[in-house]
Amino acid sequence: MTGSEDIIPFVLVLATVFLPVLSFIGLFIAGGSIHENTRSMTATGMIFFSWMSALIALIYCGVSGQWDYALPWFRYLSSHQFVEHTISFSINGMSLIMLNVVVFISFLVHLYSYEYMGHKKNHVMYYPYLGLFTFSMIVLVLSNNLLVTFISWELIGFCSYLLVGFWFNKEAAAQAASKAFLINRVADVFFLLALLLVFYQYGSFDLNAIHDFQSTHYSSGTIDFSIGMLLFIGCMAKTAQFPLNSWLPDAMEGPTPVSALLHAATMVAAGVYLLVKLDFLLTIDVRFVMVIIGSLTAFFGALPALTTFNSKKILAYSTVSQLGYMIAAIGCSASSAAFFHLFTHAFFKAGLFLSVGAVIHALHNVHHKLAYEHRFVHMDPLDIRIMGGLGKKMPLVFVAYLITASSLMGLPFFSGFLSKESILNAMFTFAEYRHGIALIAPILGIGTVLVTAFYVTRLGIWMFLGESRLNELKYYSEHVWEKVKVNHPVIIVPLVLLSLGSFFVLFSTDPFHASHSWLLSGQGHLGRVSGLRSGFVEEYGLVMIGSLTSVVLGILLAVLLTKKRVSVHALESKKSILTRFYYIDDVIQGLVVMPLQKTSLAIAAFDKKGLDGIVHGIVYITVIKAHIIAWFDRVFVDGVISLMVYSTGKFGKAFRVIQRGNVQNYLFWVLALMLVVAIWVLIKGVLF
Amino acid sequence: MYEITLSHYLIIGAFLFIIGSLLVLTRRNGIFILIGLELMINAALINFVAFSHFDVTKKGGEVAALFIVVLAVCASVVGLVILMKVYKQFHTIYVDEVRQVKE
Repeated sequence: MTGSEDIIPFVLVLATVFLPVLSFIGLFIAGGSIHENTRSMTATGMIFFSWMSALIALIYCGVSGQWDYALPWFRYLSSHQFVEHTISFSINGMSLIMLNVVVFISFLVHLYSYEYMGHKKNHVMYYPYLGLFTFSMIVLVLSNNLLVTFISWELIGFCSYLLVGFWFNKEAAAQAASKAFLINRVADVFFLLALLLVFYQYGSFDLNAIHDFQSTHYSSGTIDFSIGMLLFIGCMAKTAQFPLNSWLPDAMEGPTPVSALLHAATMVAAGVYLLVKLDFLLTIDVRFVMVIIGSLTAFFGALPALTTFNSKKILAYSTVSQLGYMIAAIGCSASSAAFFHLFTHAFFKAGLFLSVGAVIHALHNVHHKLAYEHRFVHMDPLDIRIMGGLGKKMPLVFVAYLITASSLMGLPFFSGFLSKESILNAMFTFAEYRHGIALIAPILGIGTVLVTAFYVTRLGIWMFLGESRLNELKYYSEHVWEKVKVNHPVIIVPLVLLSLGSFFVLFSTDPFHASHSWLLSGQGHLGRVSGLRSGFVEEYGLVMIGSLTSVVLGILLAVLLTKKRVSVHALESKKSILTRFYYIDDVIQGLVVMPLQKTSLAIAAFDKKGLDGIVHGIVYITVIKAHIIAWFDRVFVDGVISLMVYSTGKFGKAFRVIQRGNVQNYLFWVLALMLVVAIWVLIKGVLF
Repeated sequence: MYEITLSHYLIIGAFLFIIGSLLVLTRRNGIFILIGLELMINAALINFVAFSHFDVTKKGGEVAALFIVVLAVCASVVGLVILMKVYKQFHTIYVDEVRQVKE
């Protein structure tokens, strides 16, 4: 091992890395042989200690230090010199903060799953998968080597496949898992290409080496642009940027705690985190593309949330839109703002998912209780149309939802406000200096604030306010609800913790100025190669006024429209552009899947008719030829031999009788022959 | 009365030869086969003597007949010895039972 002298951060981080993987291996091997409570307690305990050691590491190291470690990995000889590869990882402010977020959210999800998954069937592999997922994300966070990063990147994709398709005997879940996996594979190809180009250009996968090389060498613009662009495309699927984002709403088929983990700490965060980390590889042109795509995704990704009635999908669209913000912020050279938003988003989105999950879980239980009494009703616990009035029944969940939703909307005094303001400021600065088409970034940014406020308020009103629409269910009565345990501590504790994390105080003492938060003001010290930079961002008073106005407008509109139950039928119909998510799937279906299927069908048909025909023809001819040869063999070759055998046999049989060893017989033949000769002589004498 | 011609002798010889050969061909007993053989030799012998009788210049036939008698005795001795050996070997003198060639 080479690197820093101080061994303590190394040990602490090592513990953080290996506890989840220990949980994975142990529970994977144990399988169903241990009780489910033991299983969940073991996994949760492991993650808890993992979080503890991460927290101690953060406290010990602070946010301004940098520790680099490298373990020897492999080396090979290339043109008379060894190329050395190391498993290098860097412990700095950024990775430590991210590490804590990941393990913390993962811990809360583990805790929450104890109740949420407790009554579900077939979840032996649930905790092992969570452990592996957490482990892969931690490796991605810490790794300073792009190859290791790529491996963990793929592991994350694989784990999300396993967990999204966790209820794989549900058709939709299996399909969503395959879809997520395949779309991510498409992007991964570009990521791999980016890695190859990086190695070609810099001769190393080590980020420190690349950084040093870049700051001392002149580099070609085309390759740099290609590397940046390929990296961005590679991260597009995981960060759900248009047009590779249709998998994210579908991924809601997974268990709700998994959605929280996926959206807050692992899968989508991996893409943003990696782009922030590799910020120094992105050129100006790539950044421009990122701003455009990011802001478009932010606005248009949020719009479908206005119309859908699936509570989890509303949150999924919300994630798409927030990720658009982050990508746009990176594009605006304000990676620190993006990272800040990633951080705050992790808390409030996990909180939102877990509070909505609590509601879904309660409704699930209602469904189960009714089914237990042999009263089968058809209900979709995810549908917000059967909810309503739950605020009185689940007050703690309601409060948690209010806090995290306010943070998402960007109300002052909440964390979301700070990070969103910093992103909007970055967008305005960008637009001011680039003009032209760059102007759509702030416009869409402010528009997204309005849309976000609208759909979050709408979801809240439908779920928690008004009259309970559960009464409209057949067989439902209030005593059923009383049997449903809604305030289980393992559900409430994560909600409380995440709600506390959504307040501004965790990030800044000044609730109105993002730049005063410790994360942004200390960005210069968050690590040498952390990539964090806020670029040049001006602060506009107008931005705050504009965004606050939009928020208030959004809330008011939502209250008005939802109260009156105004629904725009054209938008809510099954075939509207929003419910079909801009026909992205249809376009992919039309442009990629259908031609592929058609081509393969055509090839199959050609195979069947053309190639198989030729093969069949050859076979047919060969068989006929063989038959002819066989016939010839049988009749002529065999015939001659048979004839010889036959005639010899017959001949032998005929002449055997005269040589039976009977002497008198011999004599008879002798005399007979003599007689014949005598007669012959006589006749000859008489005739001639 | 009828004159005894060469033909009468030859016919007797032929009869004797046929009788002898029938004996040889049909009897199973080795002794009778030897007897048949003697008859056949005697048939030839009669022919010799008959031809010699009408050949007035030389009496070669009688001489040959004397030789034949001696030879016939030798032949029957040899034949009897063979029969004795056969009997020792096969414990029978029935010639159809004396065979080593199997079908």
